[in-house]
Amino acid sequence: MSFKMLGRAVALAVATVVPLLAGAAQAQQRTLTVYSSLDEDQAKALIRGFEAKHPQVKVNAILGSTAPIIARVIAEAAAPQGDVIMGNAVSALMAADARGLLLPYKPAHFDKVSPMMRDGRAEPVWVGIDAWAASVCFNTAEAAKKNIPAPVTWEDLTKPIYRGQITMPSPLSSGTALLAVNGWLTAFGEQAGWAYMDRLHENVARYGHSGSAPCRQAATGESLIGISYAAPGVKLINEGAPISIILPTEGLGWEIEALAIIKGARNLADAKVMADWISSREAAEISAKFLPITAYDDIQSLPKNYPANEREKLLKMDFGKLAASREAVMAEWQRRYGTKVPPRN
Amino acid sequence: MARFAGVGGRVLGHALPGLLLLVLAAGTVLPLAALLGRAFLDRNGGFAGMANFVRYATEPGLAVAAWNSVWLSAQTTVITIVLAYPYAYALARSAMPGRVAFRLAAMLPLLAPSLLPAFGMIYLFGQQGALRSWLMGAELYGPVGIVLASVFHALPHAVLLLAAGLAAGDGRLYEAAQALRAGPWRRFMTVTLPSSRYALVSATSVVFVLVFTDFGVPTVVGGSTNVLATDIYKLVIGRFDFELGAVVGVLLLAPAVLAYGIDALARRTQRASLSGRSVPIAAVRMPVRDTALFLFCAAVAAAILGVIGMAAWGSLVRFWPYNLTLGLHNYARLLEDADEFRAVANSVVLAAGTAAVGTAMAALTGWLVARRVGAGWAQGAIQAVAMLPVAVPGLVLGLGYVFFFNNPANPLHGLQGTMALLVVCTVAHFYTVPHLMAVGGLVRLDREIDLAAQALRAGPASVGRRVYLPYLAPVLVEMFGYFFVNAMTTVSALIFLFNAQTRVAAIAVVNLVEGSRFGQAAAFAVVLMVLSLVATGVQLAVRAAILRRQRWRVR
Repeated sequence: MSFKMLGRAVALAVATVVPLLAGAAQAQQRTLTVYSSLDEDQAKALIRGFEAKHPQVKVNAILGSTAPIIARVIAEAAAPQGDVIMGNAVSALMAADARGLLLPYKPAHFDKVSPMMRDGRAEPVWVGIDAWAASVCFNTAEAAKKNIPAPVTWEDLTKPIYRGQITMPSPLSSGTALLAVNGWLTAFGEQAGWAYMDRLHENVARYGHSGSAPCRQAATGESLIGISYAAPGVKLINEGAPISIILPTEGLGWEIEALAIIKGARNLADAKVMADWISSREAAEISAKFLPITAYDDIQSLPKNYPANEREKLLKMDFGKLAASREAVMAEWQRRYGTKVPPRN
Repeated sequence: MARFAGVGGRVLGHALPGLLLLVLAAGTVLPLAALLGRAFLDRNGGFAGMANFVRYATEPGLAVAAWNSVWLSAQTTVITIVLAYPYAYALARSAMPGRVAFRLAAMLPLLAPSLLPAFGMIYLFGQQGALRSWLMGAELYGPVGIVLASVFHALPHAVLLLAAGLAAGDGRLYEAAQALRAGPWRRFMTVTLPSSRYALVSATSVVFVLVFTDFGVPTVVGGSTNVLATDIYKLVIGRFDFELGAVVGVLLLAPAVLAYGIDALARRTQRASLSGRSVPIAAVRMPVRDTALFLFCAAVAAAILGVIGMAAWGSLVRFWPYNLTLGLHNYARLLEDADEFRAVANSVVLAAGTAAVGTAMAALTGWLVARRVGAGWAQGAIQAVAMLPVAVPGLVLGLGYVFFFNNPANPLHGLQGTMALLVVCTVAHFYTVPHLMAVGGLVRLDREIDLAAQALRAGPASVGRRVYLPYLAPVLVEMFGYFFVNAMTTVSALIFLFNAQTRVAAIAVVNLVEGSRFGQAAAFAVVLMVLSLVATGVQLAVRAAILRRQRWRVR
């Protein structure tokens, strides 16, 4: 090893990196940078549909989890890198909106979109793409081994037979958990809702950080029951997991995944084209291949292995009130369950 | 302070430390300040004084999380060092067979994306785990899981630092000890241990800080056990509260400050053990010792291989644990997506760029600090900045990079969205260990060598080429490998910086996990590990070739 060799190594590294930089600089004429937290297959199908309709626009997609995408948008505020957020939880979009980072825009087909799936404000910021609800993933193979019956209601989960068998995410780090908690507070009422969670806490083996992880843990037998949502469960069943997805009868807390344009988007015109297209029936029909609840009420679909009647079980939720009580609910949850270790079985 | 003759020497003595300090600061201190500075601001950017700290102090559960962090990190550190020291000693000093293979085995946890050991641990010790009974009724998800997975994660860092420090020694001391009839144990206690004190101190502090600030392990196997590092995740990702997140980021720097102080003390008191009259150590055959060390290393290597092997096996089965039919279907499905190929190519570019730039930088800063080149304050500052990254969670570094580089007022704003920025970020993220390896290697060369060079009026380039580079060459190869393999698997910082053109394979793995496609995620992670394994194989071969050519190392 000599300075010469070191020099050569550096030259080699520069030679490999520089073309990439140049490549990024001379990118195509019309590009659109899209951030998305939709399911990867769904996001890619939507992008293919959009590019087929608008071949002059090339979409650069950045896919990631709900919260990191929003954290990134907030951090990039000084010089936004993305143009449009195509699919992120409305509650998370609201965090960006509260910081003034989203551009109000009413897409072309906004009025045709189901009223519950669009921003009700005078200057709408988001338009819904799909919706999903809190669900229970239940491992039928382990249940058969232990001779444990499947739960049907949320109340069932507090029965002694499920002690130490349940995992759920913590609402402090997971939007999925927050919508489950908000669902209980809506279905049972404020006081009875917390009393329910007190009883549930006795049965919970552990609180995690990811919304889909409890379903995965149920699927691999790391737990019997995971409080999660349907989409990961459907995928896991398709992979061969012995689980059933249960939609408890008291009703489900739910959440919308929506599109919003980033304020300061460099390709604003095409961002609006994307928003217009997403609000169309054509786009909703693509999403319906992946989830039953889309922006158009009359599109009926039930993807393979997806539980039936999700739409009928959605609770009537006051999203404005829930957004306002978000911090308070998190603080109360932390006070009750965050500081003590849940009991073992 | 070392002085060099000629104009070149004066330029080196003053300009180089300043320049390096500037580059290092732009890569670490300034981006971190851009994020951590928010600890003192309110949400609208106004000055808030200590209000955020007060707000954080009143969060319930903080004391428990802080205690968990300290106690679990301390346990992990003790276990890791107890395992790593004899392992590194066996690699560096013994004549046991299979040293190259053992070196490779110790590197394995670095080569595998963190997903694989997590899967491996769950497959072995989880509810359905084959070896669940070994935990004697304790549950994996919680303190047990955190310590087990953290030891696994920290072991290669410790082994590398200790082996670098033990690699060279003065044979005369051993001859003298033998002449004085000191037994092997006494020789170890009076010669080996003191001469490796610096490496021991730096390995201990690196492991402690690494575990203290890591949130990857606790989020996967921590169950409901809260630690400080996961608070950052909860605050920034769960609540978008960058201000409180910054407070935790500042608090997490505390052990690093302590480590810096201890490190400075250790460097000052480390006696140079290699002088111009040094005689290289010949690895003496001591059958009893070597057999014992071999058995010990085999046990540690078997544990590492068991965890990784379990995960690799998991990538071959249909659906663990319910359908164990073997097949390559998970790998076949990866081939269907062209994006994944580009991601692998991007990863290799990132890793090679990071390794080239990082090794050159770390060799220079290590040399400045170890040989005391330039002004004292500059050396201290360089050491402080180099010690910083290990204490910074990737999430904090990545967001700091966005705040700092994505500012139109920043002259470096043009880097935003380029692969070059990913390289800079990754070099910064993994800077501490290679820098310490360089320091650990060079600090033990006697200052006489600098004085002799001075007397011979040798310029710095000449001394560098003839003395430091050949002497450090094997360590340089290891530093290069360290940067390379870490860049192949890193995710936490890049997740905020990548775009469609620069998406790397490790991020693709995370996307697969988020899409609940475990089998494919595991398969992709195995592919990455194999690539890193090949790179490490090349590295070990180069290292062995250098050692063979450097006859002066053996008698």
